[in-house]
Amino acid sequence: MTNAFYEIEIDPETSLPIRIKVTALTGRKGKTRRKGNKIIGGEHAAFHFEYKLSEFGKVEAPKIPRNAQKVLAKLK
Amino acid sequence: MRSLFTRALLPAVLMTACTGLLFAEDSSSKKVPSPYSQLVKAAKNLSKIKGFKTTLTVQGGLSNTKDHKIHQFAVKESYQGDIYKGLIHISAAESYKTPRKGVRFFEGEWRNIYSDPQGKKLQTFFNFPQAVLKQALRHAKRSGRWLDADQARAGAGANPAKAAEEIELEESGRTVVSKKRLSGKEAEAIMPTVMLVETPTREALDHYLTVEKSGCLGGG
Repeated sequence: MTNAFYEIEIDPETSLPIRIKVTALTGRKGKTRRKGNKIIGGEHAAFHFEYKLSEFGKVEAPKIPRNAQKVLAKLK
Repeated sequence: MRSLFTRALLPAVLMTACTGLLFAEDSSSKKVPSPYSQLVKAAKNLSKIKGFKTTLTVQGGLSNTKDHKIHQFAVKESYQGDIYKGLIHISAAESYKTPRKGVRFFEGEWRNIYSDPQGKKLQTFFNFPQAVLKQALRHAKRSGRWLDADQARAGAGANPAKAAEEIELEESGRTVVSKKRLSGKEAEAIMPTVMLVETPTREALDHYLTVEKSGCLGGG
């Protein structure tokens, strides 16, 4: 059994996302507690990816070193 | 003098007070927008911005609680990146990446980001927030819901209008309470801001397989 969900926080003033959290869960046979298709406890694997966004419009174009550019251009 | 006050000024003051209450009612019952429409707006606004900073925290492993908090870690990483258009620069990891490819400086030269386990993990984990939002948008109409809608409503109920302003009627000894209309910012403060979007099982499985492929679980 696998569940995944997004938790997104939006700044009410700017209507920009300031936090995005992705959670992926996988149950363990006989060890995970569930309610319907949802994992609600017991032993399970969990992965959280949390992005925090800030300084909108304040980041400038990065200067990529020439050698890095060459390698990047060769990659497909 | 008293007669003039009773005839003209008192009705005017009362009318102002009633109008204030009417506006206050409007503000507190302001319709909460749907999570989907807010997410569409957020994604659109983010797409207009060329550059911003992102911190990504990845935590994975075993959990045995309802809130899915990890107690046995298989992975615990944190990255800071500057995003500019279609490029992410992670200075600490000496890496530049696009959605599909990337380069990393290690062992004295620039190499394909997939050339070492650390780079592979970085490329797998660190996605563009715009792309993550796009994925969430696909399911927001069906399963999106506000997590803090109740708090927002409670906040609105507890403070439906700005602090009451008391007006003492001259010479009458009576007091009229006038409530002010909420300002735009105050109305925003009582709007929900955190939403939850659930994905179908198939996409959940894809997320898990992506983690597995990164090699952080020890399976390669």
